[in-house]
Amino acid sequence: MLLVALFALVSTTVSAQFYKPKRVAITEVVDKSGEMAEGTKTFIRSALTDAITNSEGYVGFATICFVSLEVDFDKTGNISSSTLTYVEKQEGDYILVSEVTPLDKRTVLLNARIVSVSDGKIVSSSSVRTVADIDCLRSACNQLCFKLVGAI
Amino acid sequence: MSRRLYTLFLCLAMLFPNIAKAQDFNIFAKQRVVIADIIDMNDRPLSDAIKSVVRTNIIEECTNSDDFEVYEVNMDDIRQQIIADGQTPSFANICKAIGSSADYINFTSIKASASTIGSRNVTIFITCSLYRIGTASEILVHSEEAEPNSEAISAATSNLVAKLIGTKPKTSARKYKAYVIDARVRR
Repeated sequence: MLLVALFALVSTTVSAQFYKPKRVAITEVVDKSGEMAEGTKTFIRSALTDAITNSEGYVGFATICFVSLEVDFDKTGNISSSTLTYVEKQEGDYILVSEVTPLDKRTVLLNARIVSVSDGKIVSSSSVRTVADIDCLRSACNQLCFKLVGAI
Repeated sequence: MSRRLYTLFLCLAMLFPNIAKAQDFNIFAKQRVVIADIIDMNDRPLSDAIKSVVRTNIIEECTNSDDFEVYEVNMDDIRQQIIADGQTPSFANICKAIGSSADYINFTSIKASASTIGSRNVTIFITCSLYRIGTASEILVHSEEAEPNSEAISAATSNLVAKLIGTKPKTSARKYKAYVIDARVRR
């Protein structure tokens, strides 16, 4: 009886450790061309946050302003070690850096990479080509998150 | 007896890759690489979209490969730190600043055959150079040509990364030296 109770206690503790959701900080969307509308970029960021949060074992949060932490972040998408340390202090496990590139008048290339805050390693990277309207963008963000989270 | 031997062999087979990784044996450990920003060699710079497609595709191909793992390094930040320390941001100093956090740094340059991208028969030359951070020396150079559209550029960068993986040095410093000579001869 005592053994069963001990086993139940250990398994609960172990499962709690395994099922602790990983926190992913979603950055502002990088647009090197400067041609994308602010509304579209905001939409992509929130769609990515939703998609990450709806992935099992992950929670997305978009409360950190990366533009204020990094010089020209919206044009470069580069993350320095001080920003990684800052996000780690905010109890983040990963950073999702997304980038939108207009290919022609209708099509955009949506790219995202997940960076581990502990060592700066890019754990997964993927891109999706899509039409730049709201429905297609949401579907592309879901597809992108599915690929990224599946690769971790 | 044979079952015990089998179990022992299985345990060793399971443990060996982990030991090798911990000891940094190159046959199992991935090469840690930093992807620098794209260098535009044209008089009239190409569109940021092209450069963005090249860089993101290289990051994606390297990250998803079995040979490389990519690390996030802000080169501008490193340059500023070197200047703040009163030194010149030379390549050797950049390599020293990156230090042991990566093994290689990849520089990619792009050059168009004609300055007006809208014109016909324009070819874009993409060149990837892999440098070893420990010695600040160039070890591999590969080039690809592409038409100025995103599909062709993606395919060319995928080929480039495949070439880098196919010819990357695997073991000793003596081999790295051989590659340096080889790369210079090819030029």
